[in-house]
Amino acid sequence: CNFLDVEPNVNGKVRTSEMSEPQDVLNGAYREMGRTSYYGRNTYVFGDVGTDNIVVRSSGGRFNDNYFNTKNSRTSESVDDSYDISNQMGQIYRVLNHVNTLIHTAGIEDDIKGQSLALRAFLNFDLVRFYGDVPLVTEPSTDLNEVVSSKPANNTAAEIYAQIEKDLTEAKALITNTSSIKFTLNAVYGLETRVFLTRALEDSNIDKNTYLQKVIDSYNMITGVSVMEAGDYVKYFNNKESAETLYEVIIAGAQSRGSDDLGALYIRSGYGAYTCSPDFYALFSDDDVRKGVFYLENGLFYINKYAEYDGVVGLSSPKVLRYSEAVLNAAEAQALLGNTADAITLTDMIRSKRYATGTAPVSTGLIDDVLAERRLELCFEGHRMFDLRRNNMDMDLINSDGTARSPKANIPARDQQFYFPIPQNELNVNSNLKQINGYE
Amino acid sequence: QEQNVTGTVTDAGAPLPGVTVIVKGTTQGTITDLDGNYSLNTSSDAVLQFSFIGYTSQEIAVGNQSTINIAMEQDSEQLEEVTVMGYAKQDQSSNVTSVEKVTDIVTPNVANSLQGKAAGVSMTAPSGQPGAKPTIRIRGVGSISSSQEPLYVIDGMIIDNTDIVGANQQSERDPMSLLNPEDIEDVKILTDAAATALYGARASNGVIVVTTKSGVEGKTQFNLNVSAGVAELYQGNYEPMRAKDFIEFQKYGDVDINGDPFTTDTDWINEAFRKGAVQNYQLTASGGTEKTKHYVSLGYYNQDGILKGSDFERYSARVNMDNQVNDRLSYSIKTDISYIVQNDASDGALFSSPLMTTYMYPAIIAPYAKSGDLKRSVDGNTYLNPFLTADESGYDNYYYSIGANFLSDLKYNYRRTKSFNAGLQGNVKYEIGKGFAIKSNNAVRIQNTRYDYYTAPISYDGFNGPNAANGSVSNTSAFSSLITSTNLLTYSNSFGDHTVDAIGGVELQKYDASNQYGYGAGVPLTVDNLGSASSGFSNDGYQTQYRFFSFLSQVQYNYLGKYYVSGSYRRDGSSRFGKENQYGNFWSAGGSWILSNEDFLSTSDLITNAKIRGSIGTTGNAGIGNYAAMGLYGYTFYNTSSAAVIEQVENPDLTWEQKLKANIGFDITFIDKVSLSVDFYNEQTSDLLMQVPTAGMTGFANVYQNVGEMRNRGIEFTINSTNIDKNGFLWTTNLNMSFNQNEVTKLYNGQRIEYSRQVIEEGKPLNAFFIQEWAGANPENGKPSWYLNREPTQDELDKNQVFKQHDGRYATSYYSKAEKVDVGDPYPDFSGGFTNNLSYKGFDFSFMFTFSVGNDIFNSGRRYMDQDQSAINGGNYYSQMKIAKDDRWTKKGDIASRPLIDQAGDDGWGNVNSSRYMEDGSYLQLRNITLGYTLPKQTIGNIGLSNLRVYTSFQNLFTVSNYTGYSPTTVDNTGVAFFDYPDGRTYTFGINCSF
Repeated sequence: CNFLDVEPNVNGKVRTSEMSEPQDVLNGAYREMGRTSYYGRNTYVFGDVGTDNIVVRSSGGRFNDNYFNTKNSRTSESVDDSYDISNQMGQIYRVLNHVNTLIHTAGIEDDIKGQSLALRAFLNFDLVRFYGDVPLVTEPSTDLNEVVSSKPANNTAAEIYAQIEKDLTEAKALITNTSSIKFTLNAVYGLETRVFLTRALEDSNIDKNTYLQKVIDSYNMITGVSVMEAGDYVKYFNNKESAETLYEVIIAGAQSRGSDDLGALYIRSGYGAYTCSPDFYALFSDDDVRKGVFYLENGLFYINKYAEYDGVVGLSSPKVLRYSEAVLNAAEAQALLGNTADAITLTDMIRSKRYATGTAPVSTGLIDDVLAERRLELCFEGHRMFDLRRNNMDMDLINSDGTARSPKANIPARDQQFYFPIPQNELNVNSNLKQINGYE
Repeated sequence: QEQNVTGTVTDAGAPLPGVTVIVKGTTQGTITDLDGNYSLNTSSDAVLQFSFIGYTSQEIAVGNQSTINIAMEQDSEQLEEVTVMGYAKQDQSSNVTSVEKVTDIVTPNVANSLQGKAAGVSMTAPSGQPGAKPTIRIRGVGSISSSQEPLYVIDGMIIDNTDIVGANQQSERDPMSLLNPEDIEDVKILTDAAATALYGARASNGVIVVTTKSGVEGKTQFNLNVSAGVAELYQGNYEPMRAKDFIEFQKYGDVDINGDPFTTDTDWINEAFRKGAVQNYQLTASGGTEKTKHYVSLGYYNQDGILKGSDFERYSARVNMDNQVNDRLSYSIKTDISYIVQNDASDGALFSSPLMTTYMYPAIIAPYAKSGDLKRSVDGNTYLNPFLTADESGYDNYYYSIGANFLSDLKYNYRRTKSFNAGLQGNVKYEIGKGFAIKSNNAVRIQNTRYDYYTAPISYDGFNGPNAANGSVSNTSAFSSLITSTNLLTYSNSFGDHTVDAIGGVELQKYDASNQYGYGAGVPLTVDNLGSASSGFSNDGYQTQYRFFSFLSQVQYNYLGKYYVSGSYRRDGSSRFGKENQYGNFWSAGGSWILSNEDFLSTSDLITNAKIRGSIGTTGNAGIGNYAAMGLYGYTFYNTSSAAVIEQVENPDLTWEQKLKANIGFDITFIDKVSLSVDFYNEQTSDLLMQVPTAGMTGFANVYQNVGEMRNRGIEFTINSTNIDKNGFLWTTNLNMSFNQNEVTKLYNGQRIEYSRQVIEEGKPLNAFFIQEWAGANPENGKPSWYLNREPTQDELDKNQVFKQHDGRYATSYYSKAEKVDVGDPYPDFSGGFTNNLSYKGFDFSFMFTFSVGNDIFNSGRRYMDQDQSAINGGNYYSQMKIAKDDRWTKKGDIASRPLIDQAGDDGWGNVNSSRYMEDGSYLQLRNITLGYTLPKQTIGNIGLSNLRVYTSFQNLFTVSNYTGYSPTTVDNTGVAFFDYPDGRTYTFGINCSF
């Protein structure tokens, strides 16, 4: 026994060489999903701030580049978060390193491996939908010299999609977990509806209709869950483990980052930085229960969807995959396939539980109608930017007083601003990495 | 024949107290007093023996002399014992400074008295809070991201700053704070390789060697030292706005203020600061036989901070015992304990702190209601702003964000640190013979610190807004143990003209610390314990540890007392280092030549001592995290289960930072009156730990690597002179100065690191200020402007975004368009101290100046207190410095340094980081004046005392400086001033008596 051997336990740290319990490392990956730079805040914000759902009240500079659609490689992710990896892309790869470590651990339990594969698919899908052609990493980092010298080059989106589909297929055979705070079989199918729908509409290398059909097939595999009742909608976002939820990222009260929490950006007693666009608010009919997520003051529509969680005002445990989204993904696929009757059935599954009896709009089964419902149901959950992009739609942007937003009042369909640049600090250290999406 | 003999025993002209005078062959004898005097009844045929440790004994036949004055000479053989520093005796080639008068400054921590005492040592006190940890830098800053603090060696035991466990930032201390200043015999500063290399991997920032007092042979001598005094604010150049200034400032906003003229004019300085009492009681006993000696001390120190709510109280005790068992075996035991209670007035950002209030509250509001009652911050459980109701002036409603009344809150809230420290050390020495000896030093040091923070529900902090904590309490405890064992074989012998001293040995060190934290809210008034909390519970804790295992050796050789060479080698293994690099080697080589012992100088009356010395060697900086080299998972939770997060990848090569030190110096003494020491040094730090950015795809944004380099080089002077020494009048002077130049020489890939307003860049001093250059008001429109510091573009010219300032240089009111430039650095060009000691008959008088020239300060607090917004126009009320009114632009064509009030630039306000807030931090401070009087022996002998001295001292009497804050001496070492707690002025009166 060497006198110099010490066991680290500062702040509960343990040595890597003595591999922690795989279950603990998996939990570590789930925990890391909730960092401010990822689902703790930024990822949801990126999907909505800058779209026609939101207007600025007083941003204090937070997410300005996103809001004004002036993203560039230096500013797009520079929103402060005092963690090691302050940008969303870095954080995704950080979680990826956890699941890659598990996937490469010999003799690991099936369920843990399955969840790790599902998480890897989820992470890679976030990479491909936000950025596109970024490096595909499937090996863990274990050696310092490798970490220092590592300069991975871009892969194509198609390569990343191939890995995602492979991981999802393998995951389905392994997962036994049924708790929605981690990946379940239902969550994998829910993720598949999202992945296939996006790929159907955005990847020209595959057959669109085949993929739209895959959306429906995956949707049909989801069992034992139901669209939440009207009365549950408003409080749903402040609770956990509802039957509606396929997968949620738990962020406990003790993990709160205070004013850097997601809700704190929106609510009146937080920054109240961004509020609901008046044009969008007008789309909610008076007997729509979803109107309950707004707080009205001085003609402004504060977003209260993430008002409180675990006793902490402004905190949220985001419901990253929920059943209603899968329903709407399927409805969108049916509408695009021309299966109007099926699209109507699916859209009505949502509408029947959001309006007072008999007041819901009549469903047409057409794509515009499905997307209109989707916008109301999933607002501020980080979807809007992707919904518009996927369906080749442009957006008109206004200020809170209804005037046209400057410098850009209209973002054309499939504009560069619907995609994210690779952060400059990554380009600085990695000569093999190429900027993408027109940000070169 | 019976005869009375009196006389004075001196060493190099200075009186030598404690010398044993014995009539040879008898037990009859006495000891010289503090002035070296003795008196003895004997006979003319007697022979007197004069002996004192470290000196050659002398025997004098009395004969018919009634006065026998003796000049004692240091015994080089015995001297070894006296100047032992840590492991070995002092190397002739080393640069070692002994600090004089360690207790002259009234402070609980000796570290605070080091300023100006030794060349190359810079001490700043970032807070005037009694007990606050001062910042000490030896020969400049030596690291970027590892420790910049020196290593301490206390009674031979290594201890560094990170070994001091604090329960929170406010209980941060340094190793010197563990000692009662009264118990300190000697403080030495070690700088160069010859002196520091023996301490190896932790010595690169210099070493401070502290030795505590030992018993003195003879009848037990008691010494009582009592002093008391008062500390008060020294305002320096700082001048706040009074009500009249404030209203005038607000009126520049061109807004008509309704209502009556102000009736309230609160002097917030007067409310926040006080005259704080200082009391110090020290009782020591020292004595023993030739074989067994003891030193015992009891101390009590109590100081009220000048800021209300802050104080420091310490109880301390020490027992040092030495026993010579026989000719070969001796041992000593040293124990010390102390208990400290410290209250802090927060120097944080909350207005319930008197500190923030004195800087930021306008004079037109008052802490008292018209009735004379103190306004409460929060009334009952309602959030009620006492300043909202305009009961005294018409202006209160402009200052809506003011809430707390610290005078009320201080009655309930506290931030209290209690700490218990204990040290136990046992040393054994056995002389084997033939010059060999074995020494074993073993010590354990325990610290237990507890920090309690309570905010009452009726205080502003305790209530605090809609998410009310409604009273909160947190308790933090920290415990640490440091166990050291040093085992040495020493050899010391002479062979004719050759003398050899050598040591070799092994050292083990083991450190463990742990911390527990608990917090609860919903704590009712006065029931300030965690058990009465009802909500918001949280807890935390950690454990940490390190180990060192070291081999050390040193050889010193001298020939004829003229030529000295030495070499040392230490091998340090540490649990902190990567497994591929767990052991490091540190060495030094030195030489010196005593010219004055050469024939051509030995007879010189002019040059009585001359020495040239030089050394080169390496030391390390192991001030990295205890587990920085390991691959780590961090344990936390997900939902309700354990979760392991990958923290860092294993770094097997991670190692200490290395410093190559080279030093050449000479010491010269002229006619025994004036001595001069000059040192030239170059210290090259390499393997600086830096964060190296990595591709995010790896899951890591950066990793620590040993990649940077830095250099400190400079010159140090020390002059000691005896200006007058006749007819009992003695005047001596010490002047020390150091010129240090710091430069970052290599960074990872040459990449500069820029943070807020400072930069780490190759070719510049560390933390150089790099910000926009302030150009004052635009004469045209009164907008704030900054020099462009580049050529304007045609587009900028076309759009009138730039203009020519009155001096012909391009400026802009777009802050974002102005280029950043170098505007200074935090380190002085030179600094030092100047001390004079005068004595005549029983009187003694001394004064000391400290100075620093060329250090720049960014006064970040002034960004708030000297800005351009008025509350009346909806801005803030923070502009509270009187100078904020001066030199304002008011009309077109004005050339002014400050813009029009309420006039922003084209892309923001003018109080952003720029050279507008850069200040010259140079100063000259009268650090200390002491006047004492020692009563004549005849007078006090009658009342049974052997010595009685009364004295008075004045500390920080004045500071000459251009700095606009209270004092540049309390600005942090990085040169950024932010609402400092000033160091006050202290007056004390004391009595010191021995019996």
